[in-house]
Amino acid sequence: MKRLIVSLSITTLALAAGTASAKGDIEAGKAKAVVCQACHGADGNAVDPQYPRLAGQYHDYLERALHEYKTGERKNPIMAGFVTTLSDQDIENLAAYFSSLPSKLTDLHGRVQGD
Amino acid sequence: MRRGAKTLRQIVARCAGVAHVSTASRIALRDAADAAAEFPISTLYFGGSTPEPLHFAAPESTMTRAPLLLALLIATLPAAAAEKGDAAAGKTKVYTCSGCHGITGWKNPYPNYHVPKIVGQNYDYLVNALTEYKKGERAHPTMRAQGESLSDQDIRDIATYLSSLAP
Repeated sequence: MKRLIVSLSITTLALAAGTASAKGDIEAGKAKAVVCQACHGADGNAVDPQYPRLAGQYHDYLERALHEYKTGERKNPIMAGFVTTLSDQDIENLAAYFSSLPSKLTDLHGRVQGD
Repeated sequence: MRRGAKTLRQIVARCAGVAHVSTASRIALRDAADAAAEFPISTLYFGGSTPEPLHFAAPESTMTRAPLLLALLIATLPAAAAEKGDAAAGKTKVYTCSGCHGITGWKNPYPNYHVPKIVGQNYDYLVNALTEYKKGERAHPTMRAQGESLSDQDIRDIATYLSSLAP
């Protein structure tokens, strides 16, 4: 019985983690992402250094950034134009899509002088 | 080496076509090219261990203009090369960043979302983002405070280091 409870709670936790990282619809995001490709690259790894790489970035950070462009908390004339056409659902889908792509991005773990 | 029948305009245009020359430098070079018009420098001497004196076949009025234009041309090039910072210095300067950006899966307590992955991000974007935080043009309080403590050189060094780590 104890074992069952433990395994059930592990399953629940795993499911919760799974849903938290994939809130949006990846396929719908992919369809919306066609216009993004011109600057952010066909695979989300922008080649032009002035545009950020999006592939594999955290989905909630991408969502947040898009919302900030929408509210004007982040000011960028190019992005301001694009986000006006996006609904909250579109933003979730786009974030799910780009975060699912193979990434060149990592964190700073073990990358600091003296590490 | 004695150059063939090239004009200053052609040489300037060639410099402007070199990769990694910034947009601003490119504009300056284009302006220099326009100013130089079709001034012939076919009689200029370049390089060599025993350079001969400069000979100008051009009329007197263009002679005085030539050194000025060449100086302008030379002055715009190092500016383009100096755009990137020092990756080794950047590696030391990212120490503070690693407090948040060095923990895989780390989330800010408020506002609550994952701290972005910044290693392997593109150089110009990183410079722009940090500069925007520094100037208060991006709202995030922690990053604004961090940005304020960074000089433009620090920002270039950090961006050079982070962008150099792309696989």
